[in-house]
Amino acid sequence: MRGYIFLGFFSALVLIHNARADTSVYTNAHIFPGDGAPVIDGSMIVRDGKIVATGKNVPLPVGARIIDLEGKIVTPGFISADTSLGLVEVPSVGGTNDTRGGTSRLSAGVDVQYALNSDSNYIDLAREGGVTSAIVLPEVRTGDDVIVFGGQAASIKTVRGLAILSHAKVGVTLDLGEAGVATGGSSRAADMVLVRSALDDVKLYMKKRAAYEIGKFRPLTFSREDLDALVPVLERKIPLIVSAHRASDILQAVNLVKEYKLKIVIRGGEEAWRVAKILADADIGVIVTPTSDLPETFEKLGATMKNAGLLAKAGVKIAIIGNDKTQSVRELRYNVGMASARGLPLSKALDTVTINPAKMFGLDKTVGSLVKGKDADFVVWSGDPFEPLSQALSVYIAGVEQPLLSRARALALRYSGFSQ
Amino acid sequence: MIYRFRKMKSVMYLSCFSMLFFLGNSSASTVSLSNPYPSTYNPGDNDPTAIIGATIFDGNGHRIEGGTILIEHGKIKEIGSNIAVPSGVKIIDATGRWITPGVIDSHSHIGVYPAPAVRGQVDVNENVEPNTSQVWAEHSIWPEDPSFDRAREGGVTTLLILPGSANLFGGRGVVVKNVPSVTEQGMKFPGAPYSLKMACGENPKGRYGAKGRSPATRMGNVAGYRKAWIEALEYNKKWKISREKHENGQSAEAFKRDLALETEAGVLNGDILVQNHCYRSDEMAVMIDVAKEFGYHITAFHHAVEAYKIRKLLAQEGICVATWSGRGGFKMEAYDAIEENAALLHQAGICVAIHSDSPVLSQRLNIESAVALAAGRRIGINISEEDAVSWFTSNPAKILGISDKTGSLVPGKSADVVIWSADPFSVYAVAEDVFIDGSLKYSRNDKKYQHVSDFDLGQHAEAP
Repeated sequence: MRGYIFLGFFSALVLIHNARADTSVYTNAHIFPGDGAPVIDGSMIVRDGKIVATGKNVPLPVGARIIDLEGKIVTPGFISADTSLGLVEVPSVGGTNDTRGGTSRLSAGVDVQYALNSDSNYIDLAREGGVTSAIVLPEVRTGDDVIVFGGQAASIKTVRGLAILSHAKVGVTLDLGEAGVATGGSSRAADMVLVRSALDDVKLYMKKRAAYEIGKFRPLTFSREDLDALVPVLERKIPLIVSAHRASDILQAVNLVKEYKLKIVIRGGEEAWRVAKILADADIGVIVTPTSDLPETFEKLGATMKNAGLLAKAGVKIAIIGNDKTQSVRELRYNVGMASARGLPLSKALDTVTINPAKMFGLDKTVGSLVKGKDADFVVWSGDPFEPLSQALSVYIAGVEQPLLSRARALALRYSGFSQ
Repeated sequence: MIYRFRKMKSVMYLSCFSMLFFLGNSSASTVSLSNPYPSTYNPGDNDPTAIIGATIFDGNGHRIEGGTILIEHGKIKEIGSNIAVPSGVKIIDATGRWITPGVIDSHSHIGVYPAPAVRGQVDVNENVEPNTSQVWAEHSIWPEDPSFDRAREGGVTTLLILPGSANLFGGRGVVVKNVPSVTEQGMKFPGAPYSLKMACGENPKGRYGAKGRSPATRMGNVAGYRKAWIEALEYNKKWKISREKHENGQSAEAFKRDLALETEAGVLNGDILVQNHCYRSDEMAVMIDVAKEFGYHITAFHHAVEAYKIRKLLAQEGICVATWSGRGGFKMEAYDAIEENAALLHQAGICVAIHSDSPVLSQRLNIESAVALAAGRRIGINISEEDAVSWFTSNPAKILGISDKTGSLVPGKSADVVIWSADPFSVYAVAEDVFIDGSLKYSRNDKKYQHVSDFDLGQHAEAP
């Protein structure tokens, strides 16, 4: 962190002679950069939507717009690692719901980037909760077909406007355990074989692409689109996002990592605390909903609110999310607070909604912390950002302040002065 | 408006008493509203105790700094800032901590939609016909549901366990004390009135319309309620005639009980409360007219995400609202949910409760209330924390019909008390000690007071 502050200081000095009209300086702020120690009474310089410097006693560039934050707390915009934002408007209204993955014809090839609706009201709600980036995941469609994979995820910015897509194809989803059985074979015993069979096919496809092109190939279970989607997974360029809850299912996912040299992220992971050391050693991250603490199924018998804390203390990289994939994405900040009250060290709390999810999905070059060169995605808070009584006062994405007027808030304003 | 509500409640209690009086004189062959499934609840050890030094929210809008609560025989004996602690009383020093009344969840399916939620033991919706007033939630409750333990860790001392919302009339709900018990009767809240669960909107019309039978529309829903109430009125009339003949020594045909109509008649007579699942404001207004047509009172609308649109009407009618702050959007009738709902209702003088409808949310009704409080402040409604505590204590007690027994920390009421590690509106607050009728039922720092349900016991994955 000291290094960052020093670098920030240095570049700010250079800026004194270079400042342009589109340079903004946010002063008098308590900045929690999301990766490193907080800067008390610090400043942040933003130019062309990027962070130029963050630090204490940063010299003010000449001609820059100065915004006095009056001692408020600034954090990076939060990143929600598991959402349906942009894929659904009303879950029970089929026509608005694009969360479901494919069919036996198309599985890993499903690509959510084409379904994104930037006008979704849920995006506004998430932004009001300080969320500026989100990973949008396809769910796996259940049915009699053998589908196995859910499809390709994308990352979005919760920016108001049409251009929400940030990166397409940031991972491929796979469900193990009970959900996997519902989409793969008739049991875990069949499902895990189908997964391996698919990954073997992809390896073969990668090796003998020319033969595939001229039809000299044994029949494959999955389509060309599915195989293409899985190639970057086997090249370790993007993670396989594996939904698993039971400890033994999580270990099956670890086995896949070893056998196929994959990079994976675990979703759910209610019993991950039981295999925390194994996950830490294999550098496997876990997306955690801390409030999932009930044995809702027999694969969550070990569900506990202590999960996040136990994992973080064991050195596992965790990303904390809200209580659903739509309306309650904004609740991730309360979940961080509740996990902190049950063992998650406060020093690691902010990372779970900033730099950790950014690293899990390879987005950490542009988002996840307030350091030089990254997108100026940040939130000004009225107090501790994990407290419900605190509010996001302003939300910036790429240096541009975003409107905080969702349809819900418009209704509240309309009816605050009127009622029947 | 809360006054008006209280007045109506006292009228209901009067009618309740007169009914009981009458029943005492009636023979078993006439309709009986007495309780054939009595509570066996036993409060357990409750030594005289003084809790000193805490910041107390009493649930009635007061905040006492460095206060003392004296507990004797399971009841609050005294509460205040200058109270002499008698000798021989167990003293708990809660300096630096916070106290509220026990949390009351006014809408729960714990035990009837349990964890694990597997087919063998999900018993929440008797969804085979749109009117199942004859079923009682207490006959579905599985007391070993681990969700009861988790809720207690979240400070929940009392819950209203309701049937689901698939039907127009879902059946009777029951109030339970959140104590470990092998039987449901051992949890049953002594003296609490029953509730009838009714449901508006998408659930009943969707469930039965999909089967090609009524109700398939909202107008079908309303026709269904009216048909049932007409029959209940008729049933009541026949029963009264039979009773009068019996009392006058005249011969009367044996009166055959009908369990569904008996529950509905209980509503018409004011003995049984109505808990009405209803999302949209226009539908709530229709339900109010239905209630007037047949002469019953709706105790509370549940979920009621659009209640903020009809604040005047709800205040005028003295109807409470049990709602969320954050949930909404998942179906058309939840599309206009706003976080400001509770604060707007509270400002209009309406008794509002933050409820769960979820065994996970039940564990943090204090935090859900904080979200609702913050939303109100965002639009300039400055409700104090001591007032907002009523959303998860005294107001749900009113909805459950037990506000004379619990829900606020005043002398004579049950010593249902939570000691919190921090301000209960803080996300970092955890319940440290939970007392039910003065008996310690959960302690964060003492394994002896951390009940593990039979289901959780001995599982390989027991958390450290």
